[in-house]
Amino acid sequence: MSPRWRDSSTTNAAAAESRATMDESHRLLDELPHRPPFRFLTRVQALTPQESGVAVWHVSGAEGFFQGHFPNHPIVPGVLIIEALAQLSGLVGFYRGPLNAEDSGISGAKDKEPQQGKLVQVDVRFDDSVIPPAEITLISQQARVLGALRQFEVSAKCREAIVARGRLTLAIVPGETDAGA
Amino acid sequence: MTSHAPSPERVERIAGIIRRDLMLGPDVSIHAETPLFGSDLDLDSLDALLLLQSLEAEFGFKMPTESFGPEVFKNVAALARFIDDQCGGG
Repeated sequence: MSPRWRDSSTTNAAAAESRATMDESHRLLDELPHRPPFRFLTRVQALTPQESGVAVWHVSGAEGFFQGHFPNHPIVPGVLIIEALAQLSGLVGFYRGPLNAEDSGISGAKDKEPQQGKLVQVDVRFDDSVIPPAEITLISQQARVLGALRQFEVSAKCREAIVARGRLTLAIVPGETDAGA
Repeated sequence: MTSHAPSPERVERIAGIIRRDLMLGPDVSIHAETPLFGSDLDLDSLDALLLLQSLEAEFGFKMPTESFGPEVFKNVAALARFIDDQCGGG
């Protein structure tokens, strides 16, 4: 069975085996239908399709939305942290793996049709604000599957502290071809 | 899933959770044979998923992913039997 882990602080050998290289991270990000400025994953650190994933969103402080959120007092919008968690969850739930999955270091199913998900439900609480510049570690674990629905337990960490945690649900969008959210 | 008759207490607790989560008024009747889909309850799939989440918390079990099919949601009694199975008895 493929290696798995529960959060980005895990440092055991199994987790290290599943970590994505930079090239693989770029390729995974390209699997998302989202593109800048509305892609909120900077790199994928680890991914086990249909199980869990860890990614990082680097927020420099120069992003345009800080002009309004808020003037002279920038705070990363909570809704964008949710969106980042949803994008990572889209990869976890719907990325079906590369053709050469066995050789890539990223475990995954290689013979499945690609799918796209849409966000249908969110239940997330925020424990702290994120002030840029910041590196936000995003964690998603698939928790429940019911028909076309995938529910994920998600959290976001910044400076070693949990800043957001909860659950969100994605639904498969019939006939689409990317791992979205 | 087994076919035993669930306890009335289990059915009543589930009915209470359904009533709470779906914000149903007292005029909506919920009993063991009430279908979850297509009746007055008229759950959709997201309702069902969130209901399972509530039931996990209420009855203290953890739903294995992909361990169940649509028969679980046939009616309240079927859901109660499924929970009995997950909890190891009625």
